[in-house]
Amino acid sequence: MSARPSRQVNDRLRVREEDEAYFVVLENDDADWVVAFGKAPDFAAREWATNMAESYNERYDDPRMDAVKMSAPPPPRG
Amino acid sequence: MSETIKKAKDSVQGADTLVRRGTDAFLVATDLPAAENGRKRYRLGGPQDFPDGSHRVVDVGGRQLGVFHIKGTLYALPNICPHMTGPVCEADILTGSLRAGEETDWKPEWVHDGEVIVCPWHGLEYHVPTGQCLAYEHIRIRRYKVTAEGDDVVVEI
Amino acid sequence: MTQVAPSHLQTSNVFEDMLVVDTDVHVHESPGELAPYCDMPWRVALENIADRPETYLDIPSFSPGVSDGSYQAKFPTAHEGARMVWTKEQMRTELNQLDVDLGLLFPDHLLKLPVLTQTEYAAAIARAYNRWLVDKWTSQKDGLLGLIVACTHDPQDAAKEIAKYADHPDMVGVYLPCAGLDPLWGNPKYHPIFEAAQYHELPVLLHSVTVTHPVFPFNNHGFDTELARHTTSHTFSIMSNLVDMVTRGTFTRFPRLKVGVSEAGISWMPWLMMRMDKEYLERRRDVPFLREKPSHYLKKVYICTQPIEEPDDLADLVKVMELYDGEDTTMFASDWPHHDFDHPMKFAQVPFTDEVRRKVMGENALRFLNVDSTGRKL
Repeated sequence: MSARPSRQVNDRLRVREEDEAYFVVLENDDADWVVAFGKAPDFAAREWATNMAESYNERYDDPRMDAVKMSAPPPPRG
Repeated sequence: MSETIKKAKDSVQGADTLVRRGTDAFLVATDLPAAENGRKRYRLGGPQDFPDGSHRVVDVGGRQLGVFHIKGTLYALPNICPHMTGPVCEADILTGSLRAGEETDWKPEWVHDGEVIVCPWHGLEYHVPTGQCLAYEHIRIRRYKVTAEGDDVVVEI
Repeated sequence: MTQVAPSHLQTSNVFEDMLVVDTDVHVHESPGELAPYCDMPWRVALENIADRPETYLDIPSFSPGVSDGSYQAKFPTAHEGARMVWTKEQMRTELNQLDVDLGLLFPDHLLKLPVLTQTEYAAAIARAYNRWLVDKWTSQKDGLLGLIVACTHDPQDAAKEIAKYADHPDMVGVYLPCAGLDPLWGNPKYHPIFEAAQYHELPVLLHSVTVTHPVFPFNNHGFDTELARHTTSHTFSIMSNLVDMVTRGTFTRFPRLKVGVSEAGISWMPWLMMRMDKEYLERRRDVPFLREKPSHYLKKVYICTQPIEEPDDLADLVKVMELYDGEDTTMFASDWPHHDFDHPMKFAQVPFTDEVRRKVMGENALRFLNVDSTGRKL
C-alpha cells in the first residue's frame, strides 16, 4: 500500500441522457458511467441523477469533504 | 469564523475518523496497457489479495473501486452511493436482504446472502452482482469487468 | 446522447465562504464519564455500571429501553447506525470534514432522560452531565457550544442549573428532553424552567428520540417495525409538545422566550399551523389567553432541518419553507454522528436564493443562540 490521495471518483461528474436512462458519467469521459437511473413514469430519474452529480461536485474541489471510510472503533470507554 | 476554527479546518488532511479514512488505506492498482477497445486496464493485485467472500477498496488510477469476490466471481463497483455519494463499497460486511411478495405468501424470505452491500451512511442496499439498488428498481451501479488472469486480477474501466 | 445541465448549481464548494452552524450534534456520554462529576450517593451507582456494554443509547439504569430497533429482528447490516463521538477533538475533526464551523452539542444517552423513573437520580445525572460538558467538551474558541440539560423530573432543580450556567461563555441554551416525556412541555409544572431561560435570555431547544414508552406519543408498540416507530416518534413528539405549549399558553406567558425544535424535519410545520388555525376558529374559548391565532406563535419557533426530507424535486423544500414562513427561523442541523445524519452538501442542492441559504446554514442560528460568528455570546 502507498500513501497517495485517491478520490471516490477521480473526476467531476455530469449527467448524460439516453433513451433508456440518465447516466452519471465522468465529466471528461462520456463512456465512463458510474450509475444509471432508468427512466420510468413513477421515478424521478433526472432529479436523482442531477442530485448525485451535484452532491459529488459540491465537495470535489474540497478534499476535506471527501468521505472515505465511515467506521472507526471508538476509543476505550470511561 | 474564529482563527482557531479556521486553522483547525485547514489542518484536516488524511485523518482517520468516522467521516473519512486516511488516504493510505487502500490497495493500489498498477497500470497495464490499454485494451483493444481503448479502455484502460489495471492490475488490481494478485488472487491472494481477493479471497472468496472478501471485499476491499482499491485505488485504481486515483479513483476508488470496491472489488468483491462473491461465490467464485469477481466484481468491481465504484465506491460511490447514488443517494448522497457516500462510500458505499466501504461497508464492513457483505450480507443478504429480505424480500416478500405474493409469491412468498407475503412472508419475508432471506435472499442474496453474501451478495449485498449496505451503504454505511444511510443504509441503502445494493446487490453487488447486478449493481441493483434494492429500494429503487430503476437505480443501478456500474460493474466493471474483472478477470483473473493467472497471477493477475485485472479490471477494465 | 444529451448532456443534462445542472439544475441550478453554478459553482461548487458553495460553503467555502459561508458560515455553517450545525444546530444538532451529539456527544457520547457514559456512566463512567459522568461518575466523577456526579453527586453522592448516585455516583456510586454510575461507577457500578461504568462497564456496562451498550448497543445504541440503551444502557440499563442509565438510558433504559431501546432506541435501535431492538423490538424486532436484527439482520446483519453495514449501515453504521451506532456511530459515537467520544471526545471534543474527534468532534472538531469530524465537523471540519463536514465543513461545519460551529456545532451545538446535545447528549446521546440523556436524550432519554425522561424515561428514568427515579427523580433524584435523574436530576443528579443531569447536573453531572452539565458539569462534565463544560469541563470536557464545550469551547467557544473551538466552535463547540453547549446546552444546559433541563431535568424534567425536577423543574426547580433545572431552573437552578440554568441560573448556574447562564453566564458560562460556552453554554448558549437549554436542552428540553422530549423522549418518553409526560406530561408534555405545556404543563405549568415546567414554568420554572421557562422562567429561568427567559430571565437569563437563553433559548430552549426541544429534542426527542425514538423510544417505546407508555405515554403519548411513545406508546408505539402497536407498530410492527422501527421504520414506523422512527417515522412517528420524533415528529409526533415535537408536534404534540408544540400543541401543548400553544394551547396552555407557554408562548403568551413567556413572550420573550426563544423556542426551537430539533430532529423532526420540516414538512409537518405547515400542516400544524393550518390545522391549529382551523381549530382556533371553533375553539378559541379553550385558549382565551391567545391574542393571535396559533400559527402566529408557531411562526416564531425556530426549526432545525434534520432529518431533512428528500422530495424528488428539491424545490419542494423551498415551497414547504415558504408555507411556514421559515426563511428566518429554519436552521441547518446534521445530527452528526447519528445514523440518519444530513451532510451540509444536501443543502447546496436545494434551490434557495443565496441569501436564504446563508440564513438557513448559519445566520438564523446565530440569531437564535445570540452569538456572533465565532460562537461568542453577545
